[in-house]
Amino acid sequence: MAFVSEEEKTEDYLFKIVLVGDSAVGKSNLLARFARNEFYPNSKSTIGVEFQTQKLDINGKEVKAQIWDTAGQERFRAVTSAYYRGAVGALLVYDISRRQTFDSIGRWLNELQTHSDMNVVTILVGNKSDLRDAREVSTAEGKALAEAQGLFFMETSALDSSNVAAAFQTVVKEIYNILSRKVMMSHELKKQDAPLDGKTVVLQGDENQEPATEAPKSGGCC
Amino acid sequence: GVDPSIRPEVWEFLLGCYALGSTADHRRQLRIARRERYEDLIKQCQTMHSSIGTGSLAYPVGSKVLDMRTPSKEAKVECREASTDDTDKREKYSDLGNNCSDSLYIDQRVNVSNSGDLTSVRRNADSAAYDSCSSSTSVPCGPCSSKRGGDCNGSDFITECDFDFPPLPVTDLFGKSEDEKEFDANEEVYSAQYKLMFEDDNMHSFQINNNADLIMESNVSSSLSKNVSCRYNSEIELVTYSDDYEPVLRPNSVSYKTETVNRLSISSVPETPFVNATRSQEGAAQEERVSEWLWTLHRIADRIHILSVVDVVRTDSHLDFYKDTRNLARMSDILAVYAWVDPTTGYCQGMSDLLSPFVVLFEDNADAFWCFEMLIRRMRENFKIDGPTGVMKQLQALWHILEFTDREIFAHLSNIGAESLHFAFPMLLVLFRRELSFNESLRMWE
Repeated sequence: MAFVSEEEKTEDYLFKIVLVGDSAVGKSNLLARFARNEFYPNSKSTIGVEFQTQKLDINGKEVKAQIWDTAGQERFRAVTSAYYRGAVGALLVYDISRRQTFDSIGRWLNELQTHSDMNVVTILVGNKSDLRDAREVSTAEGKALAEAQGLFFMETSALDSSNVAAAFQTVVKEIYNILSRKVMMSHELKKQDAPLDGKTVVLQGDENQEPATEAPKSGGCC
Repeated sequence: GVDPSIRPEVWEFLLGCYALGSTADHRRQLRIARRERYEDLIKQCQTMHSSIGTGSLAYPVGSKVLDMRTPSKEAKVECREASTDDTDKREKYSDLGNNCSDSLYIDQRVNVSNSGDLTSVRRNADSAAYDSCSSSTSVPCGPCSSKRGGDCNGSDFITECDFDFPPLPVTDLFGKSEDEKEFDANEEVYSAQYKLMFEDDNMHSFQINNNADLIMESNVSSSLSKNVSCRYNSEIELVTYSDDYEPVLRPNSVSYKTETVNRLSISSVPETPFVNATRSQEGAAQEERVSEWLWTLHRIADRIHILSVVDVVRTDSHLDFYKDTRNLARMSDILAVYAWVDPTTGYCQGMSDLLSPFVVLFEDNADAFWCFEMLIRRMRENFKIDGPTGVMKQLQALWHILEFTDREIFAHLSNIGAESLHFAFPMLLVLFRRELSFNESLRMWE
């Protein structure tokens, strides 16, 4: 269970989003940049889990993203698997200057699929795009992987801010779209209440509503 | 708290590095032995990453580890294959072997034979030529490591202090080094080594003649009372017999491990590759497989090292002390050595937070290392490869405590579904290093 009960009363929507990826790819700084517009060149490694919430305006509705930042080291996974619970969105982060972190993406995807309750709107994020000279993973490679896995894709830099907000927004918007469609559908079908709780969201791919990203995903998340 | 000026001295007692009743002379000897031991370890680690022990900090940019001496991984490969530092190769490999258990993903499968076969290996300048020869030794599996007395201070600690923290699986650090140093080679060997480290009471002593490819193994029977100390090589030169040590060690020890840890072989064997002769039971094919396996380990070690370096530079980076990269390098060295001597723990995030104070307090890396090692003894469960089970248990305990001590908070946390107390996780894992200032946390530790 997330610590959501209070927020739920005041927000229209609250989405739980997790940040995953190898150690030192910049997960915490992506969050710091997005939520507080801050960046720490030598921020400490994340121990356990931390989270922040950030409000977004989506189609005039206030949406609150509760973003969970987790430790990157493998061995903490035993604990962090609990963090996936209830997540409806995920940023899968690698460091474009360290191929190793890109190679781990498959493992992270598995983990996500194993531990999350449902299909999660996922964006593949190649962070540290400012390190042009040290780049080891090309944009094309990232895109290709994202397409193959049906993920959104974006390259970001928490350092110079580029695409950071866009990456989060992409995920949140997509969740929102899926949710509203679901709500509409259920209204149409039975007029029954569609709880706005994220747990009820069933994600469906929808080409029409795709947010503008560098590399539109090739298919649904299912 | 303790007055900062006497902190280093007092902390060694608090941590159990020395028994409270120990004599100054005994402590001095221990300190010397440890420093020498640490020196050995550093040398061995150097073969893994040439930046270790140099005062420079290798830091990863891209997937390459940059430092003045080792511009690229390729360079390391070369150094592995060239026989330049062949002396240390054995160590390097055992090193890797150890790391392998930390090795995030791979090594579990390395769990080969339970055979108590000890293998002494001789080394050849050519890396592919590493081979092992095992001489079978009966390994009466004793009541595993928990009974073992560990190194000298460990024994002191256990026998003379009231604390009784679970010892390292590699309780006997000094002894273990022997294994590490004497062994290298194939998986069986490694696994045997692991078994020895963790379960085996058998003590073995090896002797290395630094000139010939003579590696003899003598098996010292398993001990009854495991509070055997293993004194280590400081006094030992080329050859050591168990009896040499007895007096130095616990008088009541029935047996103990002796080590011939070859400072000599480390420092003075250099250009004499062991002739790869006799007892080899492995064929060339095997050797190749072994060398491939070792290479894999090397990459893993690399990976671990990169992770620890990445963390080192962001540990207490606000302190002026760490503006000096030499101090960062010290931290990195100690973590590398620790990962090696305690392969089942390896490096885990959070450790650098715990180590940092020792680096600040102690001028000598060896002293810092041994204090750190004593601390981690108490906390190993928190850093296990399969998860921080120790912390999880503590969190559960905390939850029960809260139920009795603070109903209000308990009710609130229950209400919002925060029973798992994740927020307290970092507090317990790094002992409030993240919540308190540097000085405050030291005082709290005390």
